[in-house]
Amino acid sequence: MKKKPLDNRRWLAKALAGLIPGAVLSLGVMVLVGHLCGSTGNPMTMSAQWLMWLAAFLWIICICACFLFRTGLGAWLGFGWMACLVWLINTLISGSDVSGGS
Amino acid sequence: MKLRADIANVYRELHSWVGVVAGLFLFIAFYAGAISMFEPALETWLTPRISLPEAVPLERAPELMGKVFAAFPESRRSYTIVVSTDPDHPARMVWSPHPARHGHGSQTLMMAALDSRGRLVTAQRRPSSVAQVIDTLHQQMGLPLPHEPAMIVMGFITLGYALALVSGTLIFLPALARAIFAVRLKGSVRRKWLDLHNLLGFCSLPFHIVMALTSVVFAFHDVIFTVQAEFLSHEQGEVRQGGHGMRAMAALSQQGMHPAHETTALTPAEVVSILSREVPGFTPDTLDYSTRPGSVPMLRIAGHDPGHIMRGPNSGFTTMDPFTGRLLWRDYLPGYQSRSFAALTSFFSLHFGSYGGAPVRWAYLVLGFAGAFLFYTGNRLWIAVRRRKEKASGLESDTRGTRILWRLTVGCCAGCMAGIAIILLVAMFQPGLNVRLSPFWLYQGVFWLFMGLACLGILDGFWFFLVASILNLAVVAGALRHFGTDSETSLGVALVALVLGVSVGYSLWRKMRLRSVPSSAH
Repeated sequence: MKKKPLDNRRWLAKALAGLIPGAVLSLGVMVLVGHLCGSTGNPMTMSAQWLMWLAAFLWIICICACFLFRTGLGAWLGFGWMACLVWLINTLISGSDVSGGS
Repeated sequence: MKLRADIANVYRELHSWVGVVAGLFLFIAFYAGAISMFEPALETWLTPRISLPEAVPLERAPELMGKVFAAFPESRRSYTIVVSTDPDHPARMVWSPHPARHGHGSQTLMMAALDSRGRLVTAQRRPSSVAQVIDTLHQQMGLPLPHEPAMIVMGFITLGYALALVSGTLIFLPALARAIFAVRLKGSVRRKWLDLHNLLGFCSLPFHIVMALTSVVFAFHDVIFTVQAEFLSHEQGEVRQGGHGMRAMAALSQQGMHPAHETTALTPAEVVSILSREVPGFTPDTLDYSTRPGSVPMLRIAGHDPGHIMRGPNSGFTTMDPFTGRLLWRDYLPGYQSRSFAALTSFFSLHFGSYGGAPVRWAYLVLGFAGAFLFYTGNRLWIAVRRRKEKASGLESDTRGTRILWRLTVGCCAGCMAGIAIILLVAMFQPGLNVRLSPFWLYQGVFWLFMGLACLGILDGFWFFLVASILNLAVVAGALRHFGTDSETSLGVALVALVLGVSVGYSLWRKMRLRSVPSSAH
């Protein structure tokens, strides 16, 4: 079956998906990379500053890519599950940090 | 490279709509940003010179500081020693009577000098706020809001800017080889604006990528750092409290500093000689001393090095232990940064144009105005395309959408040009008025008057641009009249205003000629 061509009919839902779950996802990836490279989150350190740029860059990519989803719901679910997954990993990592540290 | 037809269509639509909405704000950001490339020079030029006795040599600064501390004890909290004084900055020591605003924009400064008998002479310098207001208009994209909310709104507009940039590049790439440098000035109006828009956009693409990414960061860095502090900080300490910037810098740079009471502080001359030994090539401009309650004094040094990229718009920074002379923090010191920090600095530097000295600033001025023109051409293109479609479908006059966008474009572009010209004119001819009436609100008044009149549709767009052009030509006259204080800046201002006024005037003249000789071009 031939797929329907992509259009902008659900532009608002898609844009909001790029803005909201897209931001949650970008920040989640930033925190994940921060955990992996051992950043302390002090804004004067190099790692924190690179991570800040990374988050902004990823958010822009989300906002540009969200219109490639066929439906608004698809965009929300697409970014949403990735964001949930990333934050789940973050929670597990910080949980193991706390139990390992104590 | 071939983009799937439906994807190309999605991005083409996005580019038109997002570009048109963001373009109105971005015109103001780029127009004001281009002028703010010379903010310090403009501020100095518009501020009346203060007459003070000749600055004491740097070696005698401790004597001056002692006398100032005795007469103005509050100055101890935060003061600046100026390393290289000049007729526009004649005092060796300055401090702000309102230390809370220290380091942010133009502010009233107390200046101190010693007369021939060694007596303290002070004067107050009230800098013209016009240059600072133009910078604020640039940062806030002209939004008449308090700074914090304006920056958030600005952030969302810059996300739209980034989207317009990416989508514009995606739809233009397939036609790149064929269409680049093909500017068909004759023929259909739509083609002319399309070719101009593509050429301008393509040539300044790297500039716009840097601007889009940095402006998103300028708007949202506080939020992002708060998230980092919340989820990455392992300490319960100061950084985690969400405060960043100066507090974190103070915490970082005070590690390993001597307690204040153990030794006496180095004199400014000693500080400068240590700097020239430790970091040759870096020219210190100011030594900023500050003492936070319950902490040791901090010495932050701002300076420049034209051979290297700088973190701030006009300078790079370092901090020093004012007792031992040890440099505590070199991460923002031009030429002495680690590679990774230098790469980070390059983002800021590419936004501010703070590298390579005056030629790069002039290049940024041109790129800034070209950027503003790019957004204007984008809107004109949108209107031309819509008009063509509407004519093809048999409509005699513009539809409501086309009419509204045309009026908004006219009001916004002409209003911004006229508003900035008027605050410059007032600063040149009636400096007193700027004290009573904030230039920011004067600009807003003019801008919204233009917007209101344009939206009402009583007058044709021609008249708005004519007024903007005449006002810019008046700035030329004002700048030449202001020649006595600083001829270089006067010439610069006159030249820029002349080019702006004449180019707008010329396009109006062409338009008039086209109107009087109806051609088949439309």
